[in-house]
Amino acid sequence: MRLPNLVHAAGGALLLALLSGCAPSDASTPPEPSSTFVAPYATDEEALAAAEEAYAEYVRVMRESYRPDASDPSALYTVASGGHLMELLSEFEDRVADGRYLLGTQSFDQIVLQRYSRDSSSSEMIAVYLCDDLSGLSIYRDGEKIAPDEPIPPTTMQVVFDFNPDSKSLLVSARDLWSSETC
Amino acid sequence: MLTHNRPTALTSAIFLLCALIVLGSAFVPSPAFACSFESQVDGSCATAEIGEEAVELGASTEVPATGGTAPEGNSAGGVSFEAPIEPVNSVGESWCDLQRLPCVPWTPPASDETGPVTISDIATFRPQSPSASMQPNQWMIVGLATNFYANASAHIVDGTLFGGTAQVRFTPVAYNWNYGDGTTATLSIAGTTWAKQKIAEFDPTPTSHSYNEPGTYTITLTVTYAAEYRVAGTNWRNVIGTLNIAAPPLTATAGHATTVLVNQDCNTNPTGIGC
Repeated sequence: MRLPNLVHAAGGALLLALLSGCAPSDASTPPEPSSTFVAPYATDEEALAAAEEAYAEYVRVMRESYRPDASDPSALYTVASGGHLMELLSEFEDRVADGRYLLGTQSFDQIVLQRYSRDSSSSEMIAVYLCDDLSGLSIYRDGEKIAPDEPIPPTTMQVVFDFNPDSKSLLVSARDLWSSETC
Repeated sequence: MLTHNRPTALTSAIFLLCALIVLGSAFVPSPAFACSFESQVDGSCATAEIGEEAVELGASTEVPATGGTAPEGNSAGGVSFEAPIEPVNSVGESWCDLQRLPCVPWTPPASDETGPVTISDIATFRPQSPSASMQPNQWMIVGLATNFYANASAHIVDGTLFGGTAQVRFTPVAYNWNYGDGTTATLSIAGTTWAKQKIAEFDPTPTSHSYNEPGTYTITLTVTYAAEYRVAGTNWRNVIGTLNIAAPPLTATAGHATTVLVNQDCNTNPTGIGC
């Protein structure tokens, strides 16, 4: 499908330049869904990138909430929502009252998009699978490690995100163990 | 492929689990199945794995399928605090919480299903409709490449299979184009825009097509999907066969382009001479 020669190519380029002012602009843009909900990301790739960024922020805030001196859980509101947020807040209170905290390192990778719902609602708009490696984390109380006995292997998690239209950010609404097999 | 023993074991396990709940003697981790970092580290994160002999509803709590007893307590590997523990109200509730999707009440697969699952078995699961796009939109220049691309991606559909709750994952594996000029192509890639390929407009792409004659053409795309299924946390299993889903057709006009001299840049002065 190559152009036959340079002259033709040059002619095509000139033609394109001339036509570009007369042709409808951005003609390849697909039509928008006829719904009141406007999906914030144009493509699956954009949605996945946003989810990865949001989960990295979720991890950062969660790790802050697990520090030995953590006393204010308000930052959790910026990264989680719904029932999952309520669970995190409840767990935070319980953990702080009991004097437990987490130390160590954590990472995640292999994030893939499970679904991006463009035409439904901001609730549970994106779901991803990712491999969460918490093998470097340990639970402590009063300077003494209490768990785990053996490092847990990296496992695949399903993470679901709500979209907050006010802050235009993704909030984790669920984080579930998807497979107990090592990823 | 579903086998006899899995649904049987599962059904038995669920029955036993329900019976134990009625007796007030069986407790498993939170039915929400949510997993915080701490609960994951201490090993109390729950999942729903179906084994050959038992339904496992947590990292350390097992309910044997038949002929066994539930282990006492909920060991957490030396952790001196208790994970949130609540009785499961129903298996269906747990399944829906696990999925975090529009809730289809959990029902066990029928126990008499045998043999491989074929595409006709999952006829009630409908994949998302693909769509076709083209650049330029709805017009072509004879002799120059028109960039066609498909909008389709892997996705999961929930539904019922053999009387049980299941998920089917559809993955596009082939893109069948009929360009309306007597030529067809079956491609393994969906293609994408010129901009995303970082090439100039009208450059050939792996999914482009050139028309030799002016005229109006109807372009059709049919996407071939492969399918896999899973029930209640099992691994994905292949479905035999593929499914073809047609996208709404495109209608576009091909014409010869004529080079004209213009007075000014047509972008800044669309009504200028020659524009």
